[in-house]
Amino acid sequence: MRKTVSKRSTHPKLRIMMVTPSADYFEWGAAMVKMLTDAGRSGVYVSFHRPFENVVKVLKHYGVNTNKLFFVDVATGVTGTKIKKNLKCVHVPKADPVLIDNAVHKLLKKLNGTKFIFVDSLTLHSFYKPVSETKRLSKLLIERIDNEHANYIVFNVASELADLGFIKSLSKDVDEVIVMPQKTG
Amino acid sequence: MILQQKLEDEIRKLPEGWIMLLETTAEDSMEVTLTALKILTGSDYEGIIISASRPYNNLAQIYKQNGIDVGKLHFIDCISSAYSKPDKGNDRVVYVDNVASLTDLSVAINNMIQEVTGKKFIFIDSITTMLIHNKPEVFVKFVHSVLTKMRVHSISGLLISLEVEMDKSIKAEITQLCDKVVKVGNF
Repeated sequence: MRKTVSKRSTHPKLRIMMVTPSADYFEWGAAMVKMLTDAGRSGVYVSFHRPFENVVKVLKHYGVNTNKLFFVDVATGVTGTKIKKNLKCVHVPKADPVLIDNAVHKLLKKLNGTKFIFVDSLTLHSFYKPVSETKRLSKLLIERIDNEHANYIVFNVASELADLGFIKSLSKDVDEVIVMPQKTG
Repeated sequence: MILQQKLEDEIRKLPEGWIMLLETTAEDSMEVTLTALKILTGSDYEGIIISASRPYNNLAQIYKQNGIDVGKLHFIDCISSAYSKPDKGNDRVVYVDNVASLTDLSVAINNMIQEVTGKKFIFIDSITTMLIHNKPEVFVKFVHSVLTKMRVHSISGLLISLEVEMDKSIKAEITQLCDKVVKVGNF
């Protein structure tokens, strides 16, 4: 485990991979986002799984203060679903790593204080793009932490998919791997 | 009754527009299906049934025999056309050529979402059968697309998954897309 502190900033920088059972994937993800926002941090939620309105609704269901979040919605674009514009969200029309990274950067600039990026999820991205592009995306987003545009990045990964080559590789690029227990019986 | 109570409890806990994966065995799948449909049609839902396991005629008969109000249901039958020329006179049924015609199926789902008014659910029986007939990576994108459209329209959904050998990564990816996984039956 490696923890780094920025030379220019007093904020710590931390790259986290949370490994969650697929049956509890969103619930654990929401718990992590709630913990981060309850602690006064604000963030950008990158959603491949769900469209913007649904992520907001379900995060609220789990008690997350969504006022502290901006969203990058990739799900709506890649599935060809009609987009509804919202000031809290940037819709990315395809799973292009540069477009996604640019959207994250644009939204990070709107936030103040300690910031985080939450990524949900890289494995689904890999169904739309070659693995090399998914690795490029994770690298670009991690560089946002290294370049001090944000303090924390959290990749949520299903435990059943943690053996995939690019996820194993990612686990070496993060500071902490947190394994969550099964909730669903 | 225990099964019905368990499903009702799980559904009640979820926010509107919920999507549930029901894992069951082949032996228990019909009982689970009937119980779930009784709960949903017993409330104010209208349903869209996507059947990859049984033809419409057979399903409608079984549902009626078990006291399910088929007047609240619409069907997308992915079976009949592969074996016979179905009677297309019933406007509650749309026939898709076969389970592998995912583009046609997607169009049929979109059309039905527009046609069926009010509070509705989509019931997919079963993703296990559909996966047998489709390339896994294509099927995951199809499921993602359908679930995203459902979420945009706040449509609830039940996906039946049978407890059989299935690609671990594909199953995990589909499981992640759902709000809740409920295991029912004798595993």
